[in-house]
Amino acid sequence: MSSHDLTIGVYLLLFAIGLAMQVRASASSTIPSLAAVFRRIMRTRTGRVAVMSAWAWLGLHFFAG
Amino acid sequence: MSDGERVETGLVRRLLPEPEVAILFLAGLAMLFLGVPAPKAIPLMVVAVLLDLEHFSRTQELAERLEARSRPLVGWILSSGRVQAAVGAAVALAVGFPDRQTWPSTLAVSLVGVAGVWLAYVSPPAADPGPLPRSGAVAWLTVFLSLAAWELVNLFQQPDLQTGSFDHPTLSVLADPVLDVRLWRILFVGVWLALGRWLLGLRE
Repeated sequence: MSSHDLTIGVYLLLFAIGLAMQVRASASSTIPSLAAVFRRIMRTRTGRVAVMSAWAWLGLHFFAG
Repeated sequence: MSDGERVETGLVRRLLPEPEVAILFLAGLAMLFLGVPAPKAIPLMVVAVLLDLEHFSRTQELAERLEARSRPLVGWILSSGRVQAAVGAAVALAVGFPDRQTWPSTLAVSLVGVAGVWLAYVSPPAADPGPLPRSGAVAWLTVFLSLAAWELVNLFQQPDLQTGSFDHPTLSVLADPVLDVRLWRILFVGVWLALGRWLLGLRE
């Protein structure tokens, strides 16, 4: 396995773990859904602005010059 | 804990009452050191400083006044499918049709980004959902931190911070060939817009 494949494999593994947690969240009382996590972070004005700033940054990073 | 440590903790708590502020500021600072262009890094630091200043001034009152005044406009924007479709179409055109990362896409994404942060600032608070189960919160934190750590590991394996590596690609390097294709770029800017709308919807 090349370094390239390993790097992509770890990304895929982490995304798969996140996806599995999200799917499991509906049937589990210990694993919250991603929506619940963000709802908790965004309960304050600071959290709300911080999350939306991170979202805006992602847009700038990938689409802006 | 000694008296000195207690005083220090109290001072840090007073200066940085909410961890999100420190995270935003440090993220912006780290980006500057990593060579991210200043127009992409400094806004995060500016937002962090402005949020922190809220705790030392009367801007909390300003935020509440803005929130009350903006309520009809915020409600209209968040509930109007036509407005959102028009914004989506305009951004898709600006991002998709000129070459990638040119001034039309920069302008469109910047305007929508600022609007998103403004909507977050002035939208009314929703009910507190209560604390998350500790083990679940730790599990999500672990996933996000692992992703960030792996991204950094690959970033530091590049020949230099501005040159991508085939052997150790970051997510940005992996995204580059995909986003160079117009159709994918339009699709992914749609995903980005939908994510922003979903995040704002969590507060409704």
